[in-house]
Amino acid sequence: MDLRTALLRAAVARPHVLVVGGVGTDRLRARVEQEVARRRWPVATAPADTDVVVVVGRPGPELGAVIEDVWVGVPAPRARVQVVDEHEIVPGLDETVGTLGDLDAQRALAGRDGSRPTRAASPSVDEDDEQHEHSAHDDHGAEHGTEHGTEHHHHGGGTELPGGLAMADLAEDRDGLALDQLHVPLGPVLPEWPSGLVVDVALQGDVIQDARARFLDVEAGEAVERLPDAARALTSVARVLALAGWSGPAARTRGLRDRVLFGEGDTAHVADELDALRRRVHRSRVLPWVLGSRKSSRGAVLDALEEKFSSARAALGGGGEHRPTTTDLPALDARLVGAEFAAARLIVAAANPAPQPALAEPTSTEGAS
Amino acid sequence: MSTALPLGGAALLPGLLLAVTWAAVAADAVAAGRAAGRPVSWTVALGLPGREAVRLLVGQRRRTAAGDELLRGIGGAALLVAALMAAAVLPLGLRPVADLGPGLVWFNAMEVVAWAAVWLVGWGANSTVSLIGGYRFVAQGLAYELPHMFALITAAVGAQSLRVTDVVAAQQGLWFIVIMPVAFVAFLLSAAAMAFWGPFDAPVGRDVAGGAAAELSGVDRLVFSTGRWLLLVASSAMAVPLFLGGGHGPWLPAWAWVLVKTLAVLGVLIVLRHRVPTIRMERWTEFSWVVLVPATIAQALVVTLVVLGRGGI
Amino acid sequence: MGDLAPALVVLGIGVLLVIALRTLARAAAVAPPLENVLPHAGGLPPLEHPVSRFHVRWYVVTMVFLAFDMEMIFMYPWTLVVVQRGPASVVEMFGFLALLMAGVVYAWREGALRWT
Repeated sequence: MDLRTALLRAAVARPHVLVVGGVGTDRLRARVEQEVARRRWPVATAPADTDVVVVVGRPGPELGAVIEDVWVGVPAPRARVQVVDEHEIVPGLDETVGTLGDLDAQRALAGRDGSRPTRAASPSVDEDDEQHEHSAHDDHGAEHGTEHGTEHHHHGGGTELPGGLAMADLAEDRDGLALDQLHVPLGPVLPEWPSGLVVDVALQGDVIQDARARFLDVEAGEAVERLPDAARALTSVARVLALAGWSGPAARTRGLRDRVLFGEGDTAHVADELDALRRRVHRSRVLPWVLGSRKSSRGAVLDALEEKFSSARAALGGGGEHRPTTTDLPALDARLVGAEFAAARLIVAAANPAPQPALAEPTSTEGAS
Repeated sequence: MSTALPLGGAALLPGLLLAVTWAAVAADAVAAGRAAGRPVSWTVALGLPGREAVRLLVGQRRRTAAGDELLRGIGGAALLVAALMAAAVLPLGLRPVADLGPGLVWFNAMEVVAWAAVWLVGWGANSTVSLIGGYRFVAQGLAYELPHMFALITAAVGAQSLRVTDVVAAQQGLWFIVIMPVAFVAFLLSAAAMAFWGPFDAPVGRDVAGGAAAELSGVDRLVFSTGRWLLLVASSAMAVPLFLGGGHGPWLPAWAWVLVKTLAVLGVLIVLRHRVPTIRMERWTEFSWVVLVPATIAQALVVTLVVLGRGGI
Repeated sequence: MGDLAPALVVLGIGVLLVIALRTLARAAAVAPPLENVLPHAGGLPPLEHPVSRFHVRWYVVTMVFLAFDMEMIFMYPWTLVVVQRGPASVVEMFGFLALLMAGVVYAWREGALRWT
C-alpha cells in the first residue's frame, strides 16, 4: 500500500492541466495559465491527457454541461478545481496536488463508465444540425430517403447502435463525389481555442464542408468582458504560433501578454521584447511556407499575425491610431468552409472572435484578418 | 561471415535504447524550457522521464465507445516492437545484435511498420481527431519514404553491401557524410519524420488535440510514446553506421564513439524541433518529391560513379 | 537462418516488454479502465461514429508512390552487383529512374502533389 501511495505521489507531482473557461473569463484564465506555466506544469491536449481540470469563473448552463461531459472522460488520477478569483488560483492548484496524491480519494473519484451524463440534454446541438443537413441537402435530394432513415437513430434514444451514435452518411463533396460526412461540434475544450466558442462543422475526411460558429451561454448582443487590445492581440498570436507547432515563441508571447496584463510599469521593456519577437517571426522562412503564400487562404493567417503584432504594438505605445479589427461569426463561417482541419484551426485562432456588443457596427468585418 | 554479438546482446539492447531515450527526453525538456523562456534545470529534467512513465503507469486506461481496442493495442505495441527490431541491426560498437545480410532492407522494413502502427492507433480510437492524426501520418509517410530509401541505397552503393557492418567497415578511412552529404541530410529529415518528431509532428499536433494519441491514457499512452521515442532513437542511431563512420574514431573505444555520435545526432534533432515550426505534410510532400527525390537520386548517381571510378572498393 | 535468430529474440523481448508494461500497469493503476468514453472533439458529443470512409485527397500521390516504391525494391539488390556489371547497369538503373522522375514532374505539373 505504501509503495502505491509513494508511486502515486511521485506520479502526480507534475500534473497535466486542462483549463476551461467560458466567454468573458479571459483575464482570470490568463492568470491561471501564468501560474500553471510558472509551475512548469504541462497543458493537456485532451481529456485523456489530463490530470487536473481547472474551471475558470462560473460557467453558464451550456458550458457547465460540457464540463461535466469532459470530466467524465478524464482518467484517474484526476482532480478538479473551480477558480472564481485570482486569490484562489494558488491554493486551488496546491489542493489538487493533495487530491491527486490521495489513493483512497482517487479510487472514489475514478469513473467506470464514460457515457455522458448530459448527453440526453443537448437538444440544441441536434436541432441545429438537423437544420444544417436539410439545407445542405436541398440542392441534391437524391439521398434524402436514406438520410432520414438513419437520421432518426440518434435522435430516438439510439440504443441500437453502440454509444448511441449513428454511422456517417454520404454527402457530396466539392467535386461532386459521394463521401462520408461527419457532423462534429468543435470546441469549446480544445487546445488554443477561443473561450466558449463552438463551431458545428460537417467534415469529409479533414475538409470542412459546412461550419456554423456560436458562443455558449451568450445572449445575442450581450456585453461581455474583454481583454485589453494588446493582451487580446497577443493571446491570438500565441495561439496561432502554438498551432503552427512553434511552442517556444508561443510561450514567450504568452509571457509577454501576462506582463501586459499583470506586470507593473515596465511597458518599455515589453515593447522591446515584442519587437524582438516580431522580428523573429518575420525572419522565419518556414513559417510563411507552412502558413501559405500571401495569395492562398492561409496567407490570410500570416496577414492576421502581422496585424495582431501591429495592433499590440500600437496599444502598448499608447497611440490609439490602430483599431483592431474584429471578426463576426458569419464571416468566420464563410472562411472555414472548404478549409482543411489544420488551416481551419489557424483561421479560428487568428480571427479570435468574441461576442459582439449589440451596438457594434456590423459593417467593418470584411477583410478583417 | 557474421559478426553478431552473442545472444545476450539482444537482452541488453532494449536497456541501452531506453537509457539513451531517457537522456533524450530530459534534453528535450531542457530545450523546451529554454525555447519558452522558462528554463528547466537538468536535475528536474533528468527526473522527468521516470515521473511521466510512473504517471502513465498508475493512470487509468480508457476505452472509447465502439472503439477497436484490439487494433489500437496492436498499433501501440507494433510501434514499440518495430523500433526495437529496427535497432537489432545497429552496431553497438562494431558488432550488432543481428548481423543480417540485408540489414539495410531490414531496417527499412521495420521502420515502415510505423505507418500501420500509427494509423491503427488513430483508427482504433473511433475519434475524429485521432483519425485525422492517423491519416496525416500516412500522408507524411508518402512524402518522407522515398528520400529515405534513396539515402539508404546511397550508403549501400558506397559500401557495395546491404550489411550494416560492411557499411561501417567501408568508412574506415572516410566517413560517408563527406561523399554523400545530401543523403545524410535526407536521412536526418526522414528520421525525424518517421518518428513524427520535431517539424513533422502534425500527426500528434496540438491542433488535433494530440492527434493519433488523443484518446490514449494510462499504459496505452506509455506504450505509444515509448515506441515513438525508441523509433526516434533507433533511426538517429542508424545515421551513425550509415554516414558517421560507426564506431571508428581515435582514442575512444568503438562503443563510446557510437554513443557519442548517436547523442550528437539526437541533439541536432532536438534543436531542430524547437527552432522550426511544424511543416505540414501537404507542404512537405511537394518539397520532398520535387526537390529531395531528385537531389537524392543525383547523390546516388554521383556515389555510383565514384565507386565505379575506383573500380570497386 | 542462424543470422535471424537474434532478431527473433529481440522480437520476443519487445513483445515481453509490452506485456510486462501492461501487467505492471494493471497492478499499479489506481482504477480499472474507464469504459465507453465518447470521443473528444471539444466536449460536445459527435453525431456519428467517427470511423468512416475518410476523404483521402492525396490518393494520386499514393499511386505515384507505389510506382516508385516497386522500383526501389529492385534497387536494393542492384547495389550489390553494380560494380560487377559496370557502367551498363548504371545507365540502365538511372535511365529508368529518369523515366520515373519524368512521371513525377508530370504529376507535379498536373497539381497531383498539392491537395489544399
